[in-house]
Amino acid sequence: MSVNSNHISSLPAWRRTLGVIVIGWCWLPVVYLALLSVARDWAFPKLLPSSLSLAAWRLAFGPGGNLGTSFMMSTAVALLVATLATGAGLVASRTFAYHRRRGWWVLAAHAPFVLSPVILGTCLLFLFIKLHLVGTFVGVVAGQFIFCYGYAIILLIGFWNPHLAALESLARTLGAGRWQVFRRVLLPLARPMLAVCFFQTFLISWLDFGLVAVIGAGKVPVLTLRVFEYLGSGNVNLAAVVALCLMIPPLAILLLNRRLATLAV
Amino acid sequence: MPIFAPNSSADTLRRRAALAAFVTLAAGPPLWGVGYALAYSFGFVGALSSGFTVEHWQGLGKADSDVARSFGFSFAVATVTVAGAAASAVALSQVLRGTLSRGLAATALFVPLVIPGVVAALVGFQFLGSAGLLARLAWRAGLIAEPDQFPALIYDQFGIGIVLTHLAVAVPWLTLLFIRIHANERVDDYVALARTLGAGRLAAVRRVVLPMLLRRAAPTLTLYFAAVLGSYEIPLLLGAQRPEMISILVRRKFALFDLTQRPEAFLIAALYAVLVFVLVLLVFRKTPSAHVS
Repeated sequence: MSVNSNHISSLPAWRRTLGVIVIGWCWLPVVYLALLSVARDWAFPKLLPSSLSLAAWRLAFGPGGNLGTSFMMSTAVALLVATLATGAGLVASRTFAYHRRRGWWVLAAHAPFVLSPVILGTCLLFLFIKLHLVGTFVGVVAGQFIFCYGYAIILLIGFWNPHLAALESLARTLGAGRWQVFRRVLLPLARPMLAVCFFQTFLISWLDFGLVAVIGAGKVPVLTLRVFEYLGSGNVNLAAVVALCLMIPPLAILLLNRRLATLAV
Repeated sequence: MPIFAPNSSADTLRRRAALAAFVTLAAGPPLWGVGYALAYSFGFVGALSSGFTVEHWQGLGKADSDVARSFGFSFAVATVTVAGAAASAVALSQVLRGTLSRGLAATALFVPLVIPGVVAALVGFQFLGSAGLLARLAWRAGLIAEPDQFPALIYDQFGIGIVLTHLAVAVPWLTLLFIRIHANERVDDYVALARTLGAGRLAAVRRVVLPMLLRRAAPTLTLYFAAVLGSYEIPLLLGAQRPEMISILVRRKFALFDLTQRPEAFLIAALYAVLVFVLVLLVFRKTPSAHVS
């Protein structure tokens, strides 16, 4: 820590200033939204609001606000999608890693991920209508799972390597069954990567707007839809409250465990 | 190349089941969607379809075509955004490597990753609008007297607000990416070698640092290009009515009461998907780390 501090303090002043500007720039949206959520009478050309009020927060979490419902809905969708995608991604990534056409399968895993969710959702709408999934919780989960499954495979493929294969073989040679190898060898080693994958797929689902809007048809009231609704009705204070509710949980997780994002960049 | 081959028929069965699940649940739906969009655009399916036709595709060649304008605009926005973000991030990563690679400073660079598009658009609107934060600062500096004297940075035909908002979100995490590549690829060692062999400071950056960083980041930059090309929320809230980004045009033409516009919506969707697939394929085949063989 002291080495780090000494290193930073030895940098030229302009570099330190630029560093502070970049860090400030990253946090600025959070600070600005926090201020916007409590601002009253903040018309042009005032740089700061004349007074502050918690009215928007009370309204959002009050009986008619439905923000609690949206929060629960977003959480349920994202948890389910992340769990399914991480589990399925672990199985598929192992299969791809040991396949002789590994590269092509990994490329195929990019297929859903490279397309715009709104455009893919529009193309799949007919299929989802036929399956009676449009406007339903299951439909939104299924739509997001397509994206997150591909992403999980791309993220987890790097976990499988010759060293791990050798460990598996060693455990099997020593008499361990398939389930024991999974539980005693693979799972403990995979746990950090699975945590990263779970967090990242949770984030994709949590922050999604396009698929929820198209496949969910506006009937699955997640938080991103709420931001859009409040913006549409011109209530920027409430939109800022919901935006903060969207950003604070993943931010808190990131601050507690930066490794969850570091491994994915 | 396989690490090891499956050693029993049960293994083979499991592998086939996993591949079948992947094709059905991940690769299949996008391919089905693109196929359906192509079929719709050629008149094979759809509420008003009357058999095979190339009528909708012929409209692409028209000079005043919405489709051509939208593709041109979207490609321009994506190109400027990715080029600007990559250039800024490379520069910041070189200048601030020591400052931003550790501790809470590095954590700050992750913050934009948790900003969804719709919230980025909200913040972009609040900052760039004619009564937004920048306009207020300009008023405070005495540069403008009224909000409408502030230059149009949103709802403009050049997509300035769209580009700036994308840049604001992307530059921090791309900076982090380049810092990590710089460390992992031991770029400093190669720079030292080049300098020992007589390369100047600028030549070392141009011939060693930039090629190493950009080649390694090419897949990520390609995916980011595809993401900006197909972005929806930011152009929806900050873009002009014309020209429109591809996603906006697809949704508009799809949602119109006039069902004769729907084949064109699917034509645009199919064309976009094919272009993105080809782009990704080209870049990933040329990138050794992608291992497409």
